[in-house]
Amino acid sequence: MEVHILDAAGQAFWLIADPHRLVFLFAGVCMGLALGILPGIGGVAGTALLLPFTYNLDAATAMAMLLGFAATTTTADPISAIVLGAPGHAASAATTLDGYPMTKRGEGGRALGASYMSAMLGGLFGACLLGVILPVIRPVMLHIGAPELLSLAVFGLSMVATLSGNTPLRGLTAACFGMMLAMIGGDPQTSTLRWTMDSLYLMDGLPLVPLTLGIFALPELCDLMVSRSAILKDKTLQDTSGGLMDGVRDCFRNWFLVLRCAGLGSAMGAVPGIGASVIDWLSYGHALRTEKGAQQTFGTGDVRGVIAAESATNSREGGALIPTIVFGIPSSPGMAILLGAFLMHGLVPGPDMLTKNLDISYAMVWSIAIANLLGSGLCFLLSGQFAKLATLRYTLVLPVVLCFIYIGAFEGKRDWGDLYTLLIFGALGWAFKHCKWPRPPLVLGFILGSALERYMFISIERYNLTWLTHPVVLVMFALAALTLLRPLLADIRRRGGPQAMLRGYGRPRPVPSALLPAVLLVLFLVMLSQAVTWNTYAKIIPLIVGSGAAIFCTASLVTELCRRRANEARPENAGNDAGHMDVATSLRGLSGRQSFGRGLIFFLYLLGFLVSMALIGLIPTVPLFIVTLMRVEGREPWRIVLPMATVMTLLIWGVFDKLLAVPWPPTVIGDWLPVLHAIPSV
Amino acid sequence: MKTTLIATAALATVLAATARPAQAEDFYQGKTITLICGIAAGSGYDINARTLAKYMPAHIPGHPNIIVQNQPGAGSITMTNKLYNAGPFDGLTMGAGFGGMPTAPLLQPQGVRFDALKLNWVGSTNQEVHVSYVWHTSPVQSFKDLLTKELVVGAQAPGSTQYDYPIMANALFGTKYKVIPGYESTPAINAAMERGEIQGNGATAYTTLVSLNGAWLTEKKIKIIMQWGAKKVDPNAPSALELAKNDNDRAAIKLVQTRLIFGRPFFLPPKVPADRVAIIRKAFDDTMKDPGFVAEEHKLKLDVDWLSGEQLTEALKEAYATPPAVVDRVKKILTVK
Repeated sequence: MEVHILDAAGQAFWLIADPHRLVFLFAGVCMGLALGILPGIGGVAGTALLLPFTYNLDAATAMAMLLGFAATTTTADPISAIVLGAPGHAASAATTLDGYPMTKRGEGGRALGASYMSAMLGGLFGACLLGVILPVIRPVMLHIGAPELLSLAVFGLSMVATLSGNTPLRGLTAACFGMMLAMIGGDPQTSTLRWTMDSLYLMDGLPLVPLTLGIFALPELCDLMVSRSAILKDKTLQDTSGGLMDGVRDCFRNWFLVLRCAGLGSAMGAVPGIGASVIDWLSYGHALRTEKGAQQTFGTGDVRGVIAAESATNSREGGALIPTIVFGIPSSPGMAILLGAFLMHGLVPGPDMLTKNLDISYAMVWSIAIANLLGSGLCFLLSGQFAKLATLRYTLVLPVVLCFIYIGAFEGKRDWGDLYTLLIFGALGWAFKHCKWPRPPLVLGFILGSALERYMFISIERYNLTWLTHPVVLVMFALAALTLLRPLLADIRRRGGPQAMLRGYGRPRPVPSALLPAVLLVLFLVMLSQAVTWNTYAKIIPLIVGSGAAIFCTASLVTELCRRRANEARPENAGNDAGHMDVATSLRGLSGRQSFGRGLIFFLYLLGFLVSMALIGLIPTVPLFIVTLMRVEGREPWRIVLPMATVMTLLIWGVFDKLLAVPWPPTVIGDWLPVLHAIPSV
Repeated sequence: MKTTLIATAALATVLAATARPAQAEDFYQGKTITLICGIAAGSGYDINARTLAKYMPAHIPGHPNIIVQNQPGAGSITMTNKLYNAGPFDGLTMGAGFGGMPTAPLLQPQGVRFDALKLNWVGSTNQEVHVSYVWHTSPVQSFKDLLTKELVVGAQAPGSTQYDYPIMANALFGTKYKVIPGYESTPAINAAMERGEIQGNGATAYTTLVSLNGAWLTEKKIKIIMQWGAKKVDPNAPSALELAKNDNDRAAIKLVQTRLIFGRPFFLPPKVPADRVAIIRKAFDDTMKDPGFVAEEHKLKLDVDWLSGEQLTEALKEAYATPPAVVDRVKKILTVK
């Protein structure tokens, strides 16, 4: 048996080493990197784009190209997260937390070096793990049923406690809110349409991409506009050349952290429903708990934060292939498209892939490994230039990035709703950031919430309550309790016990920071009042989660109104940005009114984009938006403005209209003068 | 001079008159047809649509290019709503939807903003038969067993055949299906069956079963115990129509089986000029007989069992002529208590 497997692995290596296949693998890698750099454009659209091109290739070559692509979109993804503070995809949101402060300090190169190296090591780890366990994993996987998946989701959710920093109530509120958002749409038990506001768009639920772009990317870009300066104000601080190698050394110094996070990433990657957007946070939370001194330095530019997030994100691909290959169960949207490629090339996922087609399976393992080497290598070669983006004026960076974010969000469902979602959650994310409410728990709740409900119903319907005694369930629940309670208890102790905490409360006073929890509370109550009318099975979990949200939110509100300000002066509360699990704001020196005003202008620009898109279509809006923003905001000279607008318009037209064949929404002038349909996107 | 002018004008009129019938033929010359697939990229439906897009241009006069766009959402209702209401109605945009979409206005009208009878049906590449199967260790091994013993089956959500058909069977034939919804996909249901979490599947397309787990049939790991559809794939398992006790039951079964007839349907929006509809319909029929297309579909483990646009329209008229009492009965059975 062992000889047979080694044989297959060896054969597969020579299969992939064929120059013809390597060329296609390399092409996949180049595309993956190119699309990964663009903020907002994830791997799913790209995989769909590549699929028809693999039609006439043989199975191994097709898989090499698709996996070369899929494995490297996350390698280049952190560039915009680290350099611009705007994660281009949810998978690199956690990287922003430490990568962006490093850029501001002039250590952007080091952060990039660390992220590429940990991405590569993580990716290789994922591939190795896949190669080793692939032949034996099938029987093991058959022991993982709905109760086990449920307990994994619960364990993931318990990380909320860690990711809430020193504001557990706000974190719990956000997590419950995220779970409520996950329950929008038709429910799996009764197909009751929950919180859809009678819109077709919400029937399948809120899409992840516009939500995370809104929550994580828009607030950072908004602050860039508010501060009206380059990200790295002092160009002399720039360290790109030597920095890259520093980052590599950081990786090897923290090899055990890389190993742990990569292990976590590949294990979680194998669980259907737990995608890259949660894995980075789970791994970050794990590092925050276990690394020495992390509680003080994470979030202020600690390279270990970057390493933890990136190694886990990239090891995921190896793990995600396991259920895809052995059961045909896609664990992510990208894998679902890969399954389409299986179908096209006559491969049947399941036992055949471990016997008759074992060489193809191993060709996939090698593809991932080689793609990671190539991808990170290319990034190293090219990235000295990327870090310099941080020194550019904001009026050069913003228009381009915003255009991509818009189109990236539109890739969610290719519907107007995507853009509303982007803006609403952008505003919410901005409010969260400035009121020091943690954003990660919201995303964690959003992704794990639906898995939790789904598996809980199956477990109860099938096993009544006996599933609670399954060994895996017991272990995971115990771990979850530990993860959840330890930081909470530590927090209470740090504040001097419950009595001291109560003494910190006084008579309620109206403070502006109470506005956010007040608004949220009203929203929760409205949502709860709607939920009451649903079918029993459809409403039970939303009511539980919604009540939790309302209770935690009320407690937050009371704390906000009644906590004596004296507490704020204590060293661990004042100015400790590590504690609130977010990027430190760079708006010191601006009054609240000033920053609010400029933030409002930012959102007006975004609204303007929407209106223009409805009137004249997306592609004509791109040059209009770029010219307006650059001329009005920055008075940039025409010799920069015009080439930039032209190049961007052509790029977007080529990639999205021609290559990706995006169906554009109808426009006003297009309806009015149908002749204008000749212009793309009108 | 004047005569020349009149002669020229007359000649022009004659030319224009003779040219008119040819206009529709030329219409597609150098044009691009957009085929909007209401199901996600990479899905079986999407690959089927792309295969059609590859072979159909050769059969349309003028050989236009066909590109496929994806706009998934709400079981392809989003895409259909958009094409029905906003067009374009020039015959250059086609839709590819789920088999359940044409009867959605009748059975699941939430969010529907189209009249299925006004769509110009182009054809369907595959009629479907859905089968109910059990794992070899399940206590239920035949339809007869199902009348006395409970069978736990998995499903995605109400509204899918996996959920709706076993519930229909319980109501019409007195079977003892227990349906557990909530699984994310058919492979997930099959894996759950293999590990013993559930015992079988209430109704899934036979083609899907063959392409995902064909070996299970030959190795006798599973057994088909009943089937739904106009045809039969397993002579030993009863079909729903055979089990019907009276005309009322038969009408209800026919209504819910309309989606199987439609299988993987393609349509043009309403208001498209009739000559263009005729061209596209003929091109579809010709593509179905194209050996290249048939071979490629076979590679995808799909049998080309096609129906023309006219046949689909007839089937749909029949479905919409179902007596209201029967429609209400079906809706009542399928409403989750």
